[in-house]
Amino acid sequence: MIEFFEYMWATRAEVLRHTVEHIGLVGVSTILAVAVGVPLGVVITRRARLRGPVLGVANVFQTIPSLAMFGFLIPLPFIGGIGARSAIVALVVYALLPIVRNTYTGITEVDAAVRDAAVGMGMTDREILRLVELPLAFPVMIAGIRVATVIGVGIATIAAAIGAGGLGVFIFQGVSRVDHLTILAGAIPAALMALILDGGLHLVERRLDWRRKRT
Amino acid sequence: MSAVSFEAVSFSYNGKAVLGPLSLSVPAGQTLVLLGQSGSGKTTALRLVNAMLVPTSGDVMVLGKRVKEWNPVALRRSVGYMIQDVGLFPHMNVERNIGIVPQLLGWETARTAERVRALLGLLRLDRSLATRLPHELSGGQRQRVGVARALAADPPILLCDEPFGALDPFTRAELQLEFRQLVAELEKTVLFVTHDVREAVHLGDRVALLDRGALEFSGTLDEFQQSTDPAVSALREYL
Amino acid sequence: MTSNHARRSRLPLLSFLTLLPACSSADLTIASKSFTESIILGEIVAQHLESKGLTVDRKLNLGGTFICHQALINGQADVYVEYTGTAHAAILELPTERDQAVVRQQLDSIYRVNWDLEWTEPLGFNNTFAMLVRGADARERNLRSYSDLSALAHVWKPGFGYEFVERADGYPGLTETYGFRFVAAPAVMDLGLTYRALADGQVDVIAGNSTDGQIEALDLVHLRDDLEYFPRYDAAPVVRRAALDEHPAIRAALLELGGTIDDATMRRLNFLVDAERQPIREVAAQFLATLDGSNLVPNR
Repeated sequence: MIEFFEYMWATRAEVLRHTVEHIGLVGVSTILAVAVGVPLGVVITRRARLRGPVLGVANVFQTIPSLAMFGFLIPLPFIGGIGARSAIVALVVYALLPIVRNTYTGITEVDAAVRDAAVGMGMTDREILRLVELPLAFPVMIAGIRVATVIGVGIATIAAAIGAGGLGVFIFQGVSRVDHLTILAGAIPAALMALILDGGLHLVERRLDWRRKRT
Repeated sequence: MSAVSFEAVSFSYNGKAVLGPLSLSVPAGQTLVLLGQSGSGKTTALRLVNAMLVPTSGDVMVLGKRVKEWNPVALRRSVGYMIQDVGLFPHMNVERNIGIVPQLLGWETARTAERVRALLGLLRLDRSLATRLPHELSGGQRQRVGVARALAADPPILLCDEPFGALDPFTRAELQLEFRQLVAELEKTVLFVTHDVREAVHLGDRVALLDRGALEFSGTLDEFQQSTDPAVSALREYL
Repeated sequence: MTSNHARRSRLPLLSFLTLLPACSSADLTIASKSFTESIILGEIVAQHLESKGLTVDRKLNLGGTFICHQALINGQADVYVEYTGTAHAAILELPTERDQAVVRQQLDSIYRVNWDLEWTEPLGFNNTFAMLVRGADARERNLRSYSDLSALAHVWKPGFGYEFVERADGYPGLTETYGFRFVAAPAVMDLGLTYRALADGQVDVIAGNSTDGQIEALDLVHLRDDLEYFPRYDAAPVVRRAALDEHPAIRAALLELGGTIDDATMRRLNFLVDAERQPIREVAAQFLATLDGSNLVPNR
């Protein structure tokens, strides 16, 4: 234990750098996954025929081994190559399912009477979405984003396999050196980051839950 | 002149006839009660008025214009709508719920706020309730908010689908009385769906009795009270 | 992607050995490590010994270096194919020695004295780190050796696996020996992905394994280590001397295999199994069939 802290202190500059890289990878990929996943989740509440294919594809995406995905991404222009871009694309692909699914579930779980009242008072579809469905679905959507983020912190360690840095660097180095301390220098900050993000997003989820709001 | 009229309107769903052909009109400023058991087609008739459903044949006229010629959104914003489960937006406080249609219509904030205050007074809701969420209100308060919301943009027509159905008898009687006075005072045209004969008699200027999609009886309250139609007289037993 | 000599796991997996049956009715037991190349070699040795009328038990895919080594010491296996460089560094824990004659002498004597084991004839190939470049570049710029690279290093971007960058006998020593100054810090990534990155032009030089099946498939070229920087990892069967005494035919049979598998042959065998998914038994049998009588004459 003391040995571990000594090691962490000795390598603090690297630990900090890779932690920042890791946060960057998770942050950018989660934001992109939300930017793609939420609209997709909304679209499949409007077009029932797309629901099966969209959820199916998002599901299959999650089962693609990361190295296979990287191999596929390396030759692609714009989104591929080696480095952060491919890693972020892979992380986005892995994060989509919980975000799309929870957006869809959150919206479809809105009380039918509430939706009926919204239509009956003359809201357009866009107004219903913006004023009624999204605010009511928000806690469920945030829960999906939370899952995606926490999983993302773990998965982002594979970014090191394609030269994108992050805490995975310690894990890959540690495995090749057969050195547990190095592995832990990556694994422990990643675990802490996952816990902190989970707790933080849980607070956001509670804050934005209309059922708890009092003014 | 009639505010709403049904002209040989029928509606079928999945090839099954649900309503009609129905011909019926509601004079401006009057309350028509659509009375019938569940499955009689009364809710269907109501939803044809604000284009939530589209007739299979025939035409519904609202304010002298065919519903199919109205822009559905514009039509719905000129017609107040109240349903049994109230359908208050659970994430919006009372003030925002009442002010939602004015907001959609693009009213200025100050004008909306003024209107909300007036409606709270009209519906005898305490000002302190303005910032409460619906789940913090009693059933009767929720329903008053529902009425206030339907009246917010001062629509000439109100559509009510058993709005008081879930209330306890006491609150219900109180609200019926107030509602009757309110719509008379504001000269609203009201289509009111209920399965409760007493409610029909309390609220209606006119009564239309629907049975399995067909119009069994239509007339003024007096005509309803005196009708020798066996179906009507059987219903009067409940009074 | 085959792993290789690089595996130096010291994890305490030896306890697994106690689960293995201690004795067998066969004449001898052949083990291998858990990666394609080692399994192919184990199978080739097994089939060749069978062709000499011996009965063979296979414990292929047994584990890492230490597990195979321990299995021989315990008598739970009689033969496995080891790499000289791996045994020298990982088992004997001796400092890097680039003179292969010295390495061989140390291995022979220490194995014999400590464990009563014998290193037999090397199979012919050297599975070492290999600086690989695209075939097109090699032809266009007439690249043959690592020294030729130093002229290009200042405009080339390298891509390496984590292990190569970490090991003193990997990237740091390499740049020192050859004086490479690459234009950018190496892209450090998964070893398997460096092949794709090289083939796709994302990097210009990588450190792969000299017997990797993908080298020909991706039209890559292995340059010559002209300053002999990397230690040799010659593959050779290690045998329990007790087994050799009991079945003298083993020594003659292994001698026949000596020098029959060069780098290109080993790459092809790996390719057939990894890329074409051919069964290892068939690949081994086909290889042995190419060694008709004339080839099976001792080469020294």
